[in-house]
Amino acid sequence: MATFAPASEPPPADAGKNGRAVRKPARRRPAWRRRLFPYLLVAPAVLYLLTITLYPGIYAIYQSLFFVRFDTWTFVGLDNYRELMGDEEFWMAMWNTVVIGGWALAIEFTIALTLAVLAYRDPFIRGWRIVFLLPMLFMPSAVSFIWKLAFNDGRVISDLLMGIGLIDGPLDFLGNVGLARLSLIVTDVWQWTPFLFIIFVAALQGQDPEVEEAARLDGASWWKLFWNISLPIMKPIIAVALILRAIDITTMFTSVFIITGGTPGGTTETISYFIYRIGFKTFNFGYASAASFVMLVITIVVAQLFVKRFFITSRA
Amino acid sequence: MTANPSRATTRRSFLKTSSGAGVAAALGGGALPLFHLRDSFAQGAEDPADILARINVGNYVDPQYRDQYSLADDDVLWDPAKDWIRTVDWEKVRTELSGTTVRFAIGAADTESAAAGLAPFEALSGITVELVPIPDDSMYDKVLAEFISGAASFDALQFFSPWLGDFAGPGFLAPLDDYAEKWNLALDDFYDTYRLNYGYFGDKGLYGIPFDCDIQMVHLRTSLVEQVTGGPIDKWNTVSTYDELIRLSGEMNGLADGVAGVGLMAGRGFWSTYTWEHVAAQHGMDLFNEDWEPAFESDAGIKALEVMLALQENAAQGIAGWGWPENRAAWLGGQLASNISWQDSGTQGTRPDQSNIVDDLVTIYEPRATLEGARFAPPNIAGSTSCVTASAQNPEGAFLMLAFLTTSSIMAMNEANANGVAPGQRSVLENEKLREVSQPAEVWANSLEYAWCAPRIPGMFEMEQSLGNEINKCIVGRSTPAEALKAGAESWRKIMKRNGFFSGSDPISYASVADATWAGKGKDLPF
Repeated sequence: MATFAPASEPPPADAGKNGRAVRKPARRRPAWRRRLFPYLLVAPAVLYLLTITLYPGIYAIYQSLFFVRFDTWTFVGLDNYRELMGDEEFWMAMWNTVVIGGWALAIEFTIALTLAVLAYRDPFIRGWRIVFLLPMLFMPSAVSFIWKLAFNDGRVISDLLMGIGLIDGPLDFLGNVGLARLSLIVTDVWQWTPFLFIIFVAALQGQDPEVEEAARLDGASWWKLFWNISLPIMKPIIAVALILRAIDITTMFTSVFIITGGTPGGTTETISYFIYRIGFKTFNFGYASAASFVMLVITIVVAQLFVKRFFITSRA
Repeated sequence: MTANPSRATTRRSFLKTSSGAGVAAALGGGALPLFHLRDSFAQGAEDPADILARINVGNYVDPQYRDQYSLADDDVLWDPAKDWIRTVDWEKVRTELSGTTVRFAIGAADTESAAAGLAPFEALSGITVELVPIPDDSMYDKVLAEFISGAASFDALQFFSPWLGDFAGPGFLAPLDDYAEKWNLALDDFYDTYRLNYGYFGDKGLYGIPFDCDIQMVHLRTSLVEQVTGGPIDKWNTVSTYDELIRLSGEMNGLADGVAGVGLMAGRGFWSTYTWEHVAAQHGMDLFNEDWEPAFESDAGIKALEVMLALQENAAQGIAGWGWPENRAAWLGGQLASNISWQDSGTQGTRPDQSNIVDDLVTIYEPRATLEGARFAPPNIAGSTSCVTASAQNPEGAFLMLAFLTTSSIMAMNEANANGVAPGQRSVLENEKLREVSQPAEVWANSLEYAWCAPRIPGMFEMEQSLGNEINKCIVGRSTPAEALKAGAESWRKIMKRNGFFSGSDPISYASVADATWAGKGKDLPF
């Protein structure tokens, strides 16, 4: 009996000679889209970062061209900058920042490097590393209040020194320029030395132990090891650490606000406190923005010079 | 519910139409006028007399202080006839305003105590009070930012009275004259210096009700002074001049272990300004002339700074950084033999839970100056006032709340509690029972008739800061008195120019504040 095979369906239009569907040739993405794709992926994060950093910066620069008092904006061009250049208090604040910050940084660096070398070499001191880090974990405002009590309100330091017979009467930490600055330096050193310490310890631990071993076999003392091997290797890291800390110091505000308020007579008023005072006590926002911008430019220029010199030197 | 004929009922359309129906039902079918709602509240509310009966010493004053001064629960430290909360018609208040809300901006630290203190007001008036806490140290800029926005989140606020011009000048505050008249606020019970300087913005009208009524005074440690002088203290004559105070503080300096001769506030900012104004006012200093030109670079102003420098020699360490908190802590802690500070140092010093110098202090009359042109002008400095915002949603309710808080009975009990919020009413400070619990009250009251006060003009907040910075420089030896005051005057001119002065139309006329500046002008001296 004949079977009737169902009539076969007509082949699809895109069928090839053997009736199977032919795969369309893959369309290659244009080169520009391939290059653009990674940027699109990071765009949201970058946009967010730019919004919270670049936008306020540009806004502040724009604002610095105006006399701004809340909602009153009067265009003054570069008058704010002209006034700033002749403002004795601004330059005093800059000088205070350099003096206080410079001393603090120098002392922090010395203590941190010494402790790092000791922690790297001495197993006993290594065990105390976590204790060395503790000050950094406290809130800066709490630390400032404690030191304020110690220096001023509670006269702890004065009483201690009087008790051991070093001084006859209480020290005036707020009435003496040197002592007022010292109180800020001590506060900063106490809290932020651990920051440098932790970086230096990591740098030392990242050294190639074979280099050190070889030098030791040649009879090098620990000091020669440190000076001739460890320190040169650590230079770029030290540079980065110091730059980071220096940038942080230019924003020194909390301790000034709590401990001295800029006294005596403005000699502990750092640039950050100056900007705060102009902005939030005199409400001259345009002038404060101009001061912020000038500070930003100075910080960038100094940091660039420092990095260039340090990295070129170390590479050479 | 009406369905949209053109499409199926959606959730959104249901909600829209049913809410619309609900509103229509409430307005049309219910149609209760608001005063009927208030009336029904008023009928269900407690009798105001019962609520007022509970506003008494027994319920308001700390038991420790009641014991200390043998105060009975029903002792009256004020004049009931002048006590606004006992004279106002609360039924009328309820009828007109119950069910409404008032938003009150208050320093964050005071929120809890304010909430408790306002409960009786809510019960009396039917007005609900919402507290809007604002951080104390940024009160000025936060409040100003809200004012400028045009829609402040509060109806009423309380702030440093020197800022009255800053807020009233640009029109941020509501005038209160009509409310004061309608509700019979006892303004005449306030001493002139408080009423005029904390309440009025020149001749523009009433903008504030005096809240914390301050005066700076001189306080002495009785035992140390008597040790030096060899006899009991005469409040008028033991320290009759500032030269005497300098000499005495020198002799008392170090007399007891850890005790400095004198304490004063000389920190940067307005603290220095306040202390200098205190001393300079006695020397005859005027801040401005009739043209609003700063006039304090005078002999009186310079001499006052020299007095501060001389006192500094015998002062506690660190006064260059002292504000009120540091000064108060040192005085109450017993580290000072004498102190130039507010009157509450004299009250709080007598309380065992606040002070180490209980029974060893006395507040004296203001030392006089020996310079030609000197005067008796006890300094009414700082203090606070309470105001209603121009954008208030419930200005009348806000006014009533402030009138409640500043009423003489509550202020008298504040003084009895030594909480630092001070009364400015004659009926309180002249009350014999109040004087028993407030050590400085008699001297304070007698001094107010001659008080000096800085005018409340726009820009004063900034001006006090800038002058204080210059004075602080002088205190620490970085400038001379003349240089400091010259720099201060220059900064004041700059700030005043920015605030509309010297342009032909001053924000406020000098004549309208001249009389308020020195209440003792033309009066016979009390000594």
